[in-house]
Amino acid sequence: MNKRFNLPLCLPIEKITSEGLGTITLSFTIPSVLQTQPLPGQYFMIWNPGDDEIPISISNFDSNNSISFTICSEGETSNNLTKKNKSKLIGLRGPFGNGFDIVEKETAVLVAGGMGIAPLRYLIYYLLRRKNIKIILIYGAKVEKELFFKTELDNLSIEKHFCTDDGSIGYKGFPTEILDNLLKTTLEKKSTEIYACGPELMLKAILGVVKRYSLERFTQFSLADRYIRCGFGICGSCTLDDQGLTICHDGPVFRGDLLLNVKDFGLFGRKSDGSKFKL
Amino acid sequence: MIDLQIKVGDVKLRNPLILASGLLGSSYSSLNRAYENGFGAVTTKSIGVESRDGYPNPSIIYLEEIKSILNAVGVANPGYKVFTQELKEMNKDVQYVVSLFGSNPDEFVQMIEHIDEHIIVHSPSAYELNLSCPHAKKVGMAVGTDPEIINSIISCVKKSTRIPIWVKLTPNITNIISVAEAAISAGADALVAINTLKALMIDIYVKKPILSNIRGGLSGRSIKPIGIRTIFDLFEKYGLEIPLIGVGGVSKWQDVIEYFLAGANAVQIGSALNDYSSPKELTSKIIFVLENYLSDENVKIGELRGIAHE
Repeated sequence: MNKRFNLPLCLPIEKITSEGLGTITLSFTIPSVLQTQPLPGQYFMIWNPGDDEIPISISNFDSNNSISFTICSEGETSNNLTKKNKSKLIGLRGPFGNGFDIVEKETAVLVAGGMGIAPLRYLIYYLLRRKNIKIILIYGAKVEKELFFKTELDNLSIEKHFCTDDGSIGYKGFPTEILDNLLKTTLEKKSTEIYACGPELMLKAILGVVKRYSLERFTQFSLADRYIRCGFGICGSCTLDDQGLTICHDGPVFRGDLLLNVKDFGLFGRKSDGSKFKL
Repeated sequence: MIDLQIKVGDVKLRNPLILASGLLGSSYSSLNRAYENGFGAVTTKSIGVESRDGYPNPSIIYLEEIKSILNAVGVANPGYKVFTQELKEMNKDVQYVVSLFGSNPDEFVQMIEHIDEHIIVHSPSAYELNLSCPHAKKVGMAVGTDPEIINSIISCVKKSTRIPIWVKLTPNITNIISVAEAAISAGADALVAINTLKALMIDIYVKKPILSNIRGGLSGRSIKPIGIRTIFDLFEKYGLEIPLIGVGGVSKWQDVIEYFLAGANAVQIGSALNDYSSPKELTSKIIFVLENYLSDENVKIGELRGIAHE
């Protein structure tokens, strides 16, 4: 059962793990009596009392009901959250959004850019519980230091392809190039489902690649990096033009064939006042 | 086939369900979608002279136990000039109402003149003056509880546009008749009642109010009897003199009938969006049973208006 907490569930921070570059993972234990089973790709509104509340993807949820959120220090509220101490009360409202549609295909290709690894990390653990799925991770960042969870991922028995813009580690170039190459050479397209999360411009480029192989219907994109207010699809603050889809409720995960018809995708974001800006 | 068409003054709508302001109203695409999904008209989010970021979150909280919503969004909006561009993109078949807030007559006139000037082909069906938002400073309720200000705002606005002026009233007042009177005597074309009720919620572990703005407005099922009572009061006083649009807790077909019986010509729906899987499901479920009821009772929906007073 995937119960949603409509009011902030205020829990003490149980564990703080530094992931480098000011990025941290906050972990909480959700009382098992509350019976929630959030899906990879879903998110919570994380409330820092007295400050603000922001949407954060679930970066892990395990069988002990421990839930984790990985937060970088970029935004003001994110930055404040990274400075919290253990035991401090934080409100969790959610889970919200649709999450990834877990498809029973032979191969799952996960494409992550920068912090986009967070929801895909949970997806990896989720898929690892299903023995028959081969997992291939393509993970890129600007520089080596921005490849979060690198050591942890190195220890997992999945196929990994790292890349960096400057070539400081792995392939020098973008995740799209590796994906293109795999699709061109080894991947059996019929039995592949692709899951992507990262900066929207990267997602847009991925859509361009998968379209060339007619795989847009089988590629899922998480647009988690956008302004969200209510979380349950009624305020309209996160509307995507021009189909009127809400990121917070209809998404944040959308399939590529749908995104091909979304004007705003990869072009315009929306601010809290409702106005748009070029991405 | 039952005809659900209604009239609010001179404004004819295909059915009496209007999307309330503040929900799915920030962009042309969500308004178009809501209309396609079956609403009789859709209302934009309240727009002001300057852009506003609104309050930090939490600004909208769903209270499951009472199927209600507590919000203090703080009239976030991009400002009327930017929003006029959104209005240009509205589908031509969509009937829409532009909700506006301001602190004085000049601001309202400035916005309306600009929109009238730039949206010529597919004008709004009405302007709804939000004189009732309970959590925005110096606008909304702050002006909407003073009959004199209401009167001067509406008098000025009426001189500047031919588009009908609907006035959304606050329930956060001892005597709503005093502000309704001011609105009617200044020439309002319809009254919309009620806006949200001032409310507050505290988290008992953090021991602080949940909304960043501390106070907010309550909407949804819990306020329906207050909305019904207000429409009843207004109809009792004014009868057929002024069209009334009932808002507050409409989530089922029975609620629509109830508002009509109290005296409404139409209803607005907002928080109930959260009770259904989609806006489409909401409108089609309500409309389907409403049609059956009207067929069984052998009445037209408009004929139900104010019957509870007989």
